[in-house]
Amino acid sequence: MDDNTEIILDLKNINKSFGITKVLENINISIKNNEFFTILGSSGSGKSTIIRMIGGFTKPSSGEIIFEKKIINDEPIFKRPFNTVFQDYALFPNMNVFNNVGFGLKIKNIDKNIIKEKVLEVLSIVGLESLSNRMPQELSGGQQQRVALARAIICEPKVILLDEPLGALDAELRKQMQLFLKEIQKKIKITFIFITHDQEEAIFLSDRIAVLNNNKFEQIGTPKELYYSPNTPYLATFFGECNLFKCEVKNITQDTALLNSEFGNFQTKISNNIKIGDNVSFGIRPEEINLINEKIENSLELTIDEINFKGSVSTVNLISKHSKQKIKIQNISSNVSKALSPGLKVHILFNPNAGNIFLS
Amino acid sequence: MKSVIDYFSSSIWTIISFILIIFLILIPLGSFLSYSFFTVDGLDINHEFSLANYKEFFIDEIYINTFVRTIFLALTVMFSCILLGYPVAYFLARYAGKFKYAILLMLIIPLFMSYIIKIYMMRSILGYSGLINKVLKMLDIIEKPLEFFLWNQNAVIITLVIILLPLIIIPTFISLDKIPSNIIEASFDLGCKPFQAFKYVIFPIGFPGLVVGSIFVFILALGDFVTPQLVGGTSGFTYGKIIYSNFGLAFNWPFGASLASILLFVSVIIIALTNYLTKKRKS
Repeated sequence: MDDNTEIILDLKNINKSFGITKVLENINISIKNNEFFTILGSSGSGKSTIIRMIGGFTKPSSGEIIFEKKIINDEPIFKRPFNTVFQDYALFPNMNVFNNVGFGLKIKNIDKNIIKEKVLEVLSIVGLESLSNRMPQELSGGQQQRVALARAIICEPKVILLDEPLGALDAELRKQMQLFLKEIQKKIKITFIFITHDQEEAIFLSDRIAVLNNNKFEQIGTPKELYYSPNTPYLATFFGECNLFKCEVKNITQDTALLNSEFGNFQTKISNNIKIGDNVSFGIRPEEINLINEKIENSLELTIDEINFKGSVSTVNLISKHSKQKIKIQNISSNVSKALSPGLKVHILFNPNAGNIFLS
Repeated sequence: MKSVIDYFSSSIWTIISFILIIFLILIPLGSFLSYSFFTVDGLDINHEFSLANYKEFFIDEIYINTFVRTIFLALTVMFSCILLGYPVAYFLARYAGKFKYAILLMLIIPLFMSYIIKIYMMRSILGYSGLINKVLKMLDIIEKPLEFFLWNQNAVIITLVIILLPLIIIPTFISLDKIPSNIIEASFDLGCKPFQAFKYVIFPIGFPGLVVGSIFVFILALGDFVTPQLVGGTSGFTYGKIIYSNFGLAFNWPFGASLASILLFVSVIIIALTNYLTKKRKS
């Protein structure tokens, strides 16, 4: 996995400030060839700035951008073998679909017949053969998006940069375009660097995700790594739901730790470097908590606060008499939830192999 | 109920706008066109239909010659304005940053000034003892005042260019300023060098603004009669001045009206033609 030969693009110690405002701090990523790499962050987190630096639209304040072992910080935009799909498509309003798609080749003085052949080929990949004479203004958002993608693909770049390309589409179309992007990336085998603020989208599409928070990367990893072993409490709640509460480390054995919380004591697997007496946060996802019939070893006794009935499965919020915080359990099947009511005392068991301990 | 009221109020506005167009534009225009078919008899106007005025226009060379010369003058003014105005509009839209609207406002201010004052101002700059000649003399560059821009067609062209320049800068600026920066970035992204981005993307997208400005300048230069009168001397004679003298001096309204109708006709054809060509370019 860490085979250096397949790394195509490297960002090393990148910092970027606009005036006195720091936008990015100490950004390091290595992007592999043919990878679908996503930069995930909320709006204003600086994620577009990263892609704009790679594309050459803006320069880093310090640090190096290395493409195929060459520093390209000062390379002008038109010399970089990357193409960008812009957020609002940026199609040329004075050209029809055909000319928009063929533009990159026309600039390179390629023979007209070859351009025609290629444009038709790329248009058929994105499924727009029949619209080649239309003007961009006459297309729907999804169609414009596909033209923008075709226009980038046709130049056969080493990397395609996608700056929130699905941001302007409605939910239904967005789903379709996600599937489409994933398929196309597999088909044409070009590295995609994708930007989004949508966690589900990132998990669905990406080979690897870098999560940007407060101008820095919180964690870089595969969707599974980020979901099952987040590095920080922020990340634990960022992807899906997570019960997060304060604990004290009471005891440590070889691979388990005994934690004391407002809900009671329980054993869990060790993660991070913890010592006895540390104050830590413990995070566990609702689906990793089981409702059990009677008190057993390691179980906790809690009171039902509310039940959200959702048909075949329900979610249940639990409280303890020592805490105002709630613990959420989900996927309670209907035949179990039937017997539950608020105020009832129940026993729960955390899956001992799930959950993460964060140093606070 | 509401929709009925809406319907009536909207139809009232429609009727009012039609009435305005009919009374303020179509009727005066029709009366003016009908005058062009009358003749004069001494100081009286003979209200009988005649094509004599149009015949005279085509028979007497001086009219056609002046007409053609004036068209060339207007074209010269237009292209000079394009050459001077386009770079200014381009610079403002692309590089002036936060100052662009302040600079634009400075360019618009002269439009609030009286047109006559601007012409007199040009006279005091261009004249025998005008600013240019005085400065050149003071610097010992010339001994005798320069004359090539005095009381002739060059003076008319220079004055018109200076007066009409904002009219080309403003629409060109607006159409260039409207181009989203990511469209220009996209052209670089697809491999354009700066000149190519200008040639294939910026210029074509901004073209309609340039056309609008050029039409303004051309039509105004074509019909102008005050500038030639005040700075043109005897050789800076234009078609507009002939029309003016037929109304104001010769009291031959029918002939003046027919000359003006010809000008109107040619102007409309030019506008229609440019419109057609711009549309064709687009598709």
